[in-house]
Amino acid sequence: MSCGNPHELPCDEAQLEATAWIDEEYSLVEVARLEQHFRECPDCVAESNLAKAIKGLVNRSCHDKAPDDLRQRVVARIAHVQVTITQSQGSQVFGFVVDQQVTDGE
Amino acid sequence: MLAPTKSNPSGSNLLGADLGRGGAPVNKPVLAPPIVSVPLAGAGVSGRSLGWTDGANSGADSAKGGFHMSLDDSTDPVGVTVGLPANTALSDATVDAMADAFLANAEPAAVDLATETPEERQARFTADALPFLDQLYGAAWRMTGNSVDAEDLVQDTYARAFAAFHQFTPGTNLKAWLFRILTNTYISAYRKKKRQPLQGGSDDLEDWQLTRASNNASEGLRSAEVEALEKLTDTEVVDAMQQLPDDFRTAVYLADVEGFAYKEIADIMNTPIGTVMSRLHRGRKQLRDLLAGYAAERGIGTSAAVEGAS
Repeated sequence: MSCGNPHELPCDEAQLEATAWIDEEYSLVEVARLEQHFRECPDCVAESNLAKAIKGLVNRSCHDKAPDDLRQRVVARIAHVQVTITQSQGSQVFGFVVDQQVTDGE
Repeated sequence: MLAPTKSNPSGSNLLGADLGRGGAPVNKPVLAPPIVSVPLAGAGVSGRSLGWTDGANSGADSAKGGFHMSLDDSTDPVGVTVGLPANTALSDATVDAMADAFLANAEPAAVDLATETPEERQARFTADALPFLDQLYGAAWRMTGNSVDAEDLVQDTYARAFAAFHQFTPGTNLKAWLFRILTNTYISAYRKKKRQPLQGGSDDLEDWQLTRASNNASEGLRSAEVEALEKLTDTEVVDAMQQLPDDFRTAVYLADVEGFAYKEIADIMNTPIGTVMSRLHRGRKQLRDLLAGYAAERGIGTSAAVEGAS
């Protein structure tokens, strides 16, 4: 979106930079140039305000709590993975022993 | 951590200009106090990492909820001088105590991976990783679009993470590491299952669909639109989020809900920082168009908004 007026920083670039500015990623923003653009371009100020409002809405709205029993299931799953790891390590040892016995038996 | 490299004394006030004037903003000073006040979860939602603050000079660190670490671990993760008043005279004892505190914080749990028993590793994983359960579940819900798959995805993520936990370097960014595993697990196992309303290479996705759908609703709306948007329910916002392309939705979620820095999102999503910025920009724009459509459908908004929508 562009307001149609000439700016040193074009509107689309300004709005992209404003995204980083909203997110406080100041290393990606040439602040003085962006501020100058905002002074010249109320459209981009309004657009950026909307983007900032959207960020706020998402933050407000998207908080979920895991179901109560999910924690227990995750803990059980971790324990299962632990057993699997242990068994796979153990079976390698066991396999070696079996081979030994087979060899011995022959 | 991306600290502000340039002072920005006008801070968030800059964008506050020109709101609440029904879209007649021309010569108003840009540095007017903010009229927009977006209620955010930073205050009042304990345990959440993001606190978007509206005030100037909130500082990147505080806005990220003290989530200091970057994946490359090249930055000081503790920031021992944070909060120290300027020009404070420091005694040697104070400096020593600060150094001790720094070291203690830098290595909260000295883990010897070579001698750690499987039981100890399991206990350490449970203690360190499980606190992120709600956050991972929330992200999983946004990704899969339903609670059943979200629960499975979270369990698979923890299983994978634990199986690889010996590769995780203690003291680095566990939260980002877990989110990266979540993202990879989702992409490899769940993404194809899910019906995508806006399927396709999202970075190349034309905005025309959304623009066409909501052009009438959003054109001409400005400050009135902000007011209208803020009247939408959480459910409507969540519903709009679910309509975004995966990559946009994930980027927006990681930034706006979890408060990850761009560098962290780039690492989690395995994409350049510029792409993160573009996804956030376009994702929020699409959200705004969708939500403006919802608001217009429900007749929410000021008379100016209704006129703008007609």
